Amino acid sequence: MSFRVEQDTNSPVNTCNIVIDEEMSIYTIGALKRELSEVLNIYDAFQFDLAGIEDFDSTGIQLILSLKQEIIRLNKQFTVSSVSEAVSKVLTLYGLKDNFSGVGEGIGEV
Amino acid sequence: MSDDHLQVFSEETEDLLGLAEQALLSLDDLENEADTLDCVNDLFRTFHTIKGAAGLFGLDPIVDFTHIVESVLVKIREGEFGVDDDLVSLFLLSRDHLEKLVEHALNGEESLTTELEAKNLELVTKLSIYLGESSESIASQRAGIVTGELHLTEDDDTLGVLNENWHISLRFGPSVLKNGMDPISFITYLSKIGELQSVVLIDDALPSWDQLDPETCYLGFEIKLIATDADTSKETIEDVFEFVQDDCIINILPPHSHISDYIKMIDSLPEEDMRIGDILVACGALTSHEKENALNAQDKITDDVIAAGTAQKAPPLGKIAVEQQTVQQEVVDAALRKQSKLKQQKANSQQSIRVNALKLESLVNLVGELVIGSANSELNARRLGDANLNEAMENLLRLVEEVRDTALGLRMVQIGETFNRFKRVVREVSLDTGKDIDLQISGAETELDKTLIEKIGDPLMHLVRNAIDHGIESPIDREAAGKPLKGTVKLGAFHDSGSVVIQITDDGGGLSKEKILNKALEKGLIHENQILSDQEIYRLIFQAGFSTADTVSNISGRGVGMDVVRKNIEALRGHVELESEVGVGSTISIRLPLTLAIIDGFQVRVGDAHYIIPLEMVDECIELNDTLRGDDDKANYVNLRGEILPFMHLKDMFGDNSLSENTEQGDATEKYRDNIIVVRFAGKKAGFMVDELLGEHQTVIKPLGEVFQNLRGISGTTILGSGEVAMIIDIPEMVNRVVNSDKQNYVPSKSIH
Repeated sequence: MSFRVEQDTNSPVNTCNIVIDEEMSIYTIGALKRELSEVLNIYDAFQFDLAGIEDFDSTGIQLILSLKQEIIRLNKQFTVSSVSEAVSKVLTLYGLKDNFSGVGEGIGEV
Repeated sequence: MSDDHLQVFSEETEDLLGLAEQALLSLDDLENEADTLDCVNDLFRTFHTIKGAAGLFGLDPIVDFTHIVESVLVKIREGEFGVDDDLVSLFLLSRDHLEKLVEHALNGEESLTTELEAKNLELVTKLSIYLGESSESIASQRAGIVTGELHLTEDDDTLGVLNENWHISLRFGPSVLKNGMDPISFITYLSKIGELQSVVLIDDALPSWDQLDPETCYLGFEIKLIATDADTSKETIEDVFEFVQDDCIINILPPHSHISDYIKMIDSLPEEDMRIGDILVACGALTSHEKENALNAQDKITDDVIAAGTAQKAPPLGKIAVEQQTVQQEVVDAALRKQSKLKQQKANSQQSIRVNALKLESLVNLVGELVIGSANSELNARRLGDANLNEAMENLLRLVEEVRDTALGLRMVQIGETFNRFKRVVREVSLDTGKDIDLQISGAETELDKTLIEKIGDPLMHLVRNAIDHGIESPIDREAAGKPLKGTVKLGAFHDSGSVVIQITDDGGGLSKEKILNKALEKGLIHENQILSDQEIYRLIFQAGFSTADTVSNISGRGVGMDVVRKNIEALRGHVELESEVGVGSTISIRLPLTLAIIDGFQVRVGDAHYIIPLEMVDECIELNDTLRGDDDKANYVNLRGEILPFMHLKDMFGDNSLSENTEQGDATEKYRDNIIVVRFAGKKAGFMVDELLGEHQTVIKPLGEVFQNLRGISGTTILGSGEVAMIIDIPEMVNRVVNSDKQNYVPSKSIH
């Protein structure tokens, strides 16, 4: 798993790009949640780039769903900028594509 | 699965197959459409139950075959085609085949024999013709079945939802992910079974971020699936979730499931009902109207439950349905009637218990010994002459007698079931012969010893077939004779002086005496100038190798039947007789003893030997004193109140050496105070002269050894209280002997008034 948080200096709000690569599965999900928890309070808007994920399972879905809920609860912005094929596949299978619409064209592209 | 369970399955299936046969046969007679539908529903249920049970045991050939039969029944139920004779015959054959399949399965054999396989294929092909092209609807019916969960309601169709697809509801257990399984793979696999029409992820259980344990599974799904293969069974889908089924909530609803199933499902799910309702609508499982219905119904249940203060007891489905106004009251009433009928049957079956026949037999044997033992005690008590002891003995004897009657009563079963089996026979034979036959059954409630009933089946079968094949004329002949075209065969049973009479009557052509005589002459059974009574002529047809049918059909006429019938019946200590009138019909009467084990006997003494005469056959006892005794010592009939009563000295019959010495000593008069016992059998009376009347005796019949098999006039033995052996006189044989003894030698005695 690789996990990067980049501050988006172009955005008017305190936005960050979170890039998660390689893996978002049960093996790494615990660590990922800890890392994400640390940044949740720092920024006001979150943009997730999931284009680099090759391994994505139900824990990933759960985490994303919960994350989205939490960010919205905190009155912050949640967007997914792009997803990999692996992620897209699961989203399609779970009928969740629409849930992440308006987030970016990334979903449709892959 | 243990043998015990299989045994239960076997017994149940046997009962069910019996029910199926009855339903099929009654299907034949029904004119009225509603009744026919009822009957088809009965059949459907019966086959359905067999299928469910077989499914539980993994008896696939049975499940598969029943399924096809059931599918055809569904078609009938849906009104796609009516029931005709061919179809009933096909169902009957299917029923028989099923019986064989069950038997085969119970023998523990996995694969079918080639013979069964061939039969299977043949029937399946025939049944498939009725199924036509639309196999989907059948597949949809199939699903509910395999789980062994049986719906008994009539209104499946009325209450089925519009959804034509499978609905699968999943709530994964928390540890699924940790156990290395992923819902993704299950759903992906489902997509191989069919097209995933919609998948709705249920994340309601997902906790807030802080509470979230990322490795715990919180997911649920509502899935709508169109099965690619119309034959997809619930099992196939269940198998997908085999590894997770223990800690997951899985509901699989086949297409057009009952709305009640949805209600049940909604109940089982953790989410709020309204939410589920919306989800179900969202994924297309229910229309919003159906959802409303289901939820309202469910609210109603909850209300009722609260009101009644009882926990979780749902009102009957019918009630909900009516309240919803989705079905009419009468439909529900009909369904409820059906259900209560079923319950009634179930209740009836619960009132009886199945007991191993061997246990029953040993009980009867023990009671027999008890009877003998008590006779012995009684004898000794009487000898002691103690009043108290005698009184206690009387009491004991009365109880023993009651125990005996009850024990014997345990083996008594009604003959009706045996009779009902003949409906099938009559149907088949009349189809084969092209004769229209009506079978009338009377006295079905007559009780008979079970062993007798089992053994009488085959002879009866012969006789009934004979009656149809030989007795009833072809429709053309009947018309010519001015008889109704439909022939009638009556099967009846009734009690008559200690025996049971079973009668088979037909209104056919009757037996031609001439024909019988000619045939008998031809076969060398009689001499040309022999004069025979009507009875004797008719009795000829019970001789081996005798058949009056001009043509030998495949049903009867080979002449092996009647003599075997007679032998079988005589082996049961029974008798068979025939009466016939040309052009009017024939009646065959089979007379059987009520029971084979213990009888009430009348004990007599002839010389030093004791004999028993079955009490039911004893008419009266007369003292033959000097005023009555004829002048001739060899007298062998008396005038009994104007009737001729032939009699016989039992001493002459059985011989008696021991007393000849006494006679010579002139002690005769006291020893020979002659008594005549008048016995009656099958309308004939005869007397037996004995030395002493000893009175009633409970007689446990002990069969004679093989050496004595051919001994005439003795039907068995018994042990007396004193330990002595007494012979039981075979009254039917003896009466015939007395009545038919050479009439030329009649020597009259004085008359008795």
